[in-house]
Amino acid sequence: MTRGKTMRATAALVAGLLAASAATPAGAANSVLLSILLPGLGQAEEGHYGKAAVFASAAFISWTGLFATQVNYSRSVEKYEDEKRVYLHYQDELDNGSVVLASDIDATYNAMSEAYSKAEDEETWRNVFIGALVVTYGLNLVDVLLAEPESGEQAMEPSGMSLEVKRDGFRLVRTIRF
Amino acid sequence: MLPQTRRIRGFALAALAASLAFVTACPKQEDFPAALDVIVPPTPEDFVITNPQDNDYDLNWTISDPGDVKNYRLYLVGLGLAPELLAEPTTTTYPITLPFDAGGLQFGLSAVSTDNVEGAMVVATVP
Repeated sequence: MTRGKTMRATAALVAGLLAASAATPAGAANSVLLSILLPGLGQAEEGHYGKAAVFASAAFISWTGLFATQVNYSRSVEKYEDEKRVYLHYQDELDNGSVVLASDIDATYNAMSEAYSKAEDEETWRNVFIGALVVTYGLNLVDVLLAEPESGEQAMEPSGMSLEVKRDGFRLVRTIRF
Repeated sequence: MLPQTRRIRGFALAALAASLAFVTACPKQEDFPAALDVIVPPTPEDFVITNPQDNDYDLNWTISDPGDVKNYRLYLVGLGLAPELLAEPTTTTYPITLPFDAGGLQFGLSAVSTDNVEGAMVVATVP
């Protein structure tokens, strides 16, 4: 159930980001899309190479940490589930009249407790890296949405020229500011 | 957009989707189960072996709380790698005759609770 919620939330987040990129002008949308794919790419396209390096490094570290902790977490969960299966099987054996050693029950219980604690620790570390990744992506997208391009796409200043229509013709006014 | 750029973006998008799937598809440790509600039997005490005749042995012991004990398990220790189960007496005295002289070997004794849980073993050396 929780996994389904996470999947739906992730899909909604990705869809929202894609929609946000679609709602922005073409050049900016391209940068947003690139930043969704990999933090820093959008900044690099706009010429902000320093920020691009920072975001890309943060994303790389976060993804690497997330994968490493995820693998360890999965292993710990598997070990815990194995020990738990053995432990609960003892009850079936006892119910069926088989004799079970108390030392085996204790040893399995201790191994199961240890595996559970380890899985919880690994989950905490994994969540830390998920948080780091979310912050990295969030800051990266905010930055790419708010930042202006380094060159080329500067907004045009008002020309200071206006056209006034008169009864007997029209007048072109050019304003020069000092 | 260049085909190569499009391919790179497609690959990046696929990698991102695969990464998200990898993270979200991981199984989570479920609730920790309650400890098994079983009676662990007390350990037999004062385990003594006497040898009235050749290959005949009398075994005696005491137990602190016999109400929780269904029976005992008597092992011969030292013949092989694992203790060999010889008998499952229900009283705290047991005469046994072996087909060989067990001098120097050990008898192991443990109690089995009414929940079928076998407790710790005590051993005594055959005189």
